[in-house]
Amino acid sequence: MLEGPVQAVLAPGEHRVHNGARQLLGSGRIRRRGPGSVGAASVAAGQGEPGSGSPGQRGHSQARLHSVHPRLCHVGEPRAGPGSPLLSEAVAFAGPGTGGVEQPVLLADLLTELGLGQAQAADAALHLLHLHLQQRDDVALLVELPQQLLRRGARRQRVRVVGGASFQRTFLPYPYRHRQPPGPGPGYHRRGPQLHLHRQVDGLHVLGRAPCRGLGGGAGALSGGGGRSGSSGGGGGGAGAACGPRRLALVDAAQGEDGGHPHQSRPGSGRDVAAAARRAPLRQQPAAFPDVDNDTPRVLLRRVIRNQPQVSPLAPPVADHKETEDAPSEPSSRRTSSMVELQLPDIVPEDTSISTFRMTRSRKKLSISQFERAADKRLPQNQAHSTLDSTLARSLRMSLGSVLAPDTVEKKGLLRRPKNRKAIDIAAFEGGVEQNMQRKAQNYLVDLQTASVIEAATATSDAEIMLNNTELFVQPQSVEQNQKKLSALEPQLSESKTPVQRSEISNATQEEGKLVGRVSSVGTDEGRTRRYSEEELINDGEHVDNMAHVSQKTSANQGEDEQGYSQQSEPMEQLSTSEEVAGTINRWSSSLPSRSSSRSPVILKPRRSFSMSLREVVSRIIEELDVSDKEEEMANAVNEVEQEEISREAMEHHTNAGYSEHLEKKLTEKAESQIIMSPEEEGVAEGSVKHQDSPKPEPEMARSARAGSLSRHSHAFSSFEKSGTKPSEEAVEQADELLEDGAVMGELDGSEEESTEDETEMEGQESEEGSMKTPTFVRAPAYHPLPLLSTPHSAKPAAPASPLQPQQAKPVPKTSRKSQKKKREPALASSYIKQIFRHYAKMPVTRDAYQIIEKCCEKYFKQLSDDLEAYAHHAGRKTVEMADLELLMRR
Amino acid sequence: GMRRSAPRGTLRGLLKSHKPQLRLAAGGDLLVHLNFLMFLHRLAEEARTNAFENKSKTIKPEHTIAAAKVIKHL
Repeated sequence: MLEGPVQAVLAPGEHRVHNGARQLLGSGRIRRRGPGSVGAASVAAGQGEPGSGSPGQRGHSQARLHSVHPRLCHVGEPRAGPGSPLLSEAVAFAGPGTGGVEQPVLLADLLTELGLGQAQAADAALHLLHLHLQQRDDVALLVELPQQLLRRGARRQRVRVVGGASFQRTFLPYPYRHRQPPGPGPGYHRRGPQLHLHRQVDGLHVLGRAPCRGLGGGAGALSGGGGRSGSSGGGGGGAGAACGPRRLALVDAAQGEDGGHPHQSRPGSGRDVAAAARRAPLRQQPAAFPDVDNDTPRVLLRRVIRNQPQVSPLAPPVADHKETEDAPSEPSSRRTSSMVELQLPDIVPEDTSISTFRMTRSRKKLSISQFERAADKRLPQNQAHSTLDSTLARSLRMSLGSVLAPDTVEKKGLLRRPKNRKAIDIAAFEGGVEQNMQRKAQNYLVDLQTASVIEAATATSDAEIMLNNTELFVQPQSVEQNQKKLSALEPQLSESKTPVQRSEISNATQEEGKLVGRVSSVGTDEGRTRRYSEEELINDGEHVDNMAHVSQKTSANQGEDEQGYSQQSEPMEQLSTSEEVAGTINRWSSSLPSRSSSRSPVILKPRRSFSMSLREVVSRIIEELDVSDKEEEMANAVNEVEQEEISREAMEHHTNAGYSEHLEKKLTEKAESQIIMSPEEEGVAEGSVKHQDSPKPEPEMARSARAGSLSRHSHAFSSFEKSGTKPSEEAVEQADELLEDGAVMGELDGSEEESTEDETEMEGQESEEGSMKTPTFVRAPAYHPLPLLSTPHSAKPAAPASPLQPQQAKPVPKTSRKSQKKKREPALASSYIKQIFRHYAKMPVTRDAYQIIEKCCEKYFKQLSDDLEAYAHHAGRKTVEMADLELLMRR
Repeated sequence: GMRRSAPRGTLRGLLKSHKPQLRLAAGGDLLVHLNFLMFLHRLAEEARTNAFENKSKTIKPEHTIAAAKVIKHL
């Protein structure tokens, strides 16, 4: 096939040539293959030459043909076709045809005449032209001839090929030329700087390339296109067979592209062809520099798009877009461009975001450790700071409370104090108001009672506290105490000489039964007692009446005053009344002067105010009664009061009845020199305060109490008050009260008689009996002297404070003794723990931290024991084995 | 330095006080002591770390408390 057009191309020319071609063809038909073609070609050439009109030309043409012939033969032979020899001959004819312009046409005509068919003829002519042009390098021919041939109907393909081939041969430099004979096609896409097949415009496809734009844009493109087409047409026969399909493919593609450009006209086909030629290879090869003039905007955009992705590494899809959107061209190109643009900005923010993200990430990563730590610190500190504190505080407090219980009972005492104090303070206000009222009434009584007054001011506060405490403590026991006191009073009354006491007792019971505001009553009683005290100092008989009076008045007062202190005052009043009665009874039995009787009621009723005022009164007493027998008594009374106070404290601390008995005995036994005991009192008081468990303070205090008991009734007042105030703090102090009552009873008895040993012994016996039978009642009188002790005890702040502490500490050591024994034995040595922890910590550790460590250790051991028990129980064993421990350690 | 021997008797007594009905195998108290030492070690380390973070040269109670919270035991 190709040979045919080749031949046709080869034999374009005039009629002569035509004829010659016919001849050739005719001869060629006979001998199509082999040298026959050559001969035909030569014949044609020879004929063509004469056809040209000039024998010279013919000769020339023949010569050309001949020269061309071998090529044709080479080209045609591999693809022997029906018209190959003819074509070769025609080519031979066309070769010499200087009238190249015409010759191809003629040759095509000739070929057509030969019977190739117009298309084939034209193609052959094109081929001839191509070959011819190869030698002649005639651009014009390359451009025009193919066009002419196209008119003839030459296939565009071939025209292209021819044009491309010719173009290549004409324009391409040397190195490319010898490559071209195999075909311009393959060269196109192989070599970058080479010509590119452009889109065909009306059949002309030109391959244009960057270096040859200027020329290639116009004629070169055309020629290239034409040459290519021509060569493609003859490529099958002439140019390399391998290039054929490629060219065809290129051409086809070019054709397809050209199909979309109907607007392009021939005149402008040059440009279009060039552009087309450029576009075609765009797919295969990257476009050359954009040809502003010749390239269409589509092409330009394509190039831009193509180039863009190359520049921006972050838009790989852009290249794909470009390639796929060749057809849509502009809109697609715009899209791609926009895409690229969008992508670029997208990338930018992405970059920034990524960068920022990374930054943040890195920042986070960098500060994670720190942040975590800080967060752990801050969060639990801030958020759960309160909870931490609260929980920790609670835990600590709990632990402290539990852990330190065995160790520091004093702390418990301290802890308790504020609690009580707070509650008391509120009531203190109320009591203080009436206390002031009562002070005046008490002053005189206290003067009578107490001789030595040291520090009333300091004692007042303590006395208040004592009174307050006593009130609280007295509440639960008031009834019992009253009952006991009453019962105790009764035996005492039986012993007593006056039946008036019984009446008084009965009255007292009535009074005790009533819970009334006793402060006012006490106040009134105090006032009365004052007067009575004065009188009593003189007469004992009056004392009885006064007592009766007092009792009656107290009852009346109790009935009147109910609100006052209510809770606080009631116990006070109860005790006061009971103490009153007991005191009165005791006084009666001891046959003391009016002092006791006067003092007792005074002391009994307004305990708070009493303690408050006692000290003041004591001071006044000292001032007023400087010279009197009572001074000694007062001094003794003070000492006794102090002793009683201490003894009372001691007794309060120990709630065992046995202790009470023991104390009573001791009191009775050791009622000798009060002065001797006074120095002991201090030590005893302090010891009682500080010491928790040991019963030592008990005997000591008992001794002091007993020594105090020897004192006169003046002491009884304070002791009574003391006893009343102290037990109010703790419910456990009932026994203490009993003891105190018993002791005070003995004291009162002894003091009344102003006899030391005998009286105390007797009173002690009595008190013992009383305590045996009616411990509370026995105690009741004991309370009275003790409060008195509190007032002169101002010199010893520890003493007033001690009653609180020992009161609080007493039950604690009592209850915790056994627990202490239990816990203290197996308790891990704290020094040991400290040692280990210090070794592990390798840093100095604060003492407070050790407390926490100890607490942690205890918790740990508890957990440990629980876990081991669980493990053993799970295994059905009652003994913890090694396996359990191993399991524990594996956790 | 630390002691050379463990207070076995104390440990047994301690365990008895918590769980009187529970018995302990022959060498069990030693393992208990070992566990106890490790616990203290953990506590000390954690407290030490806390103190370091607090830029303190001594271990304070708050460090210890925080350490105790961290350790799963407590």
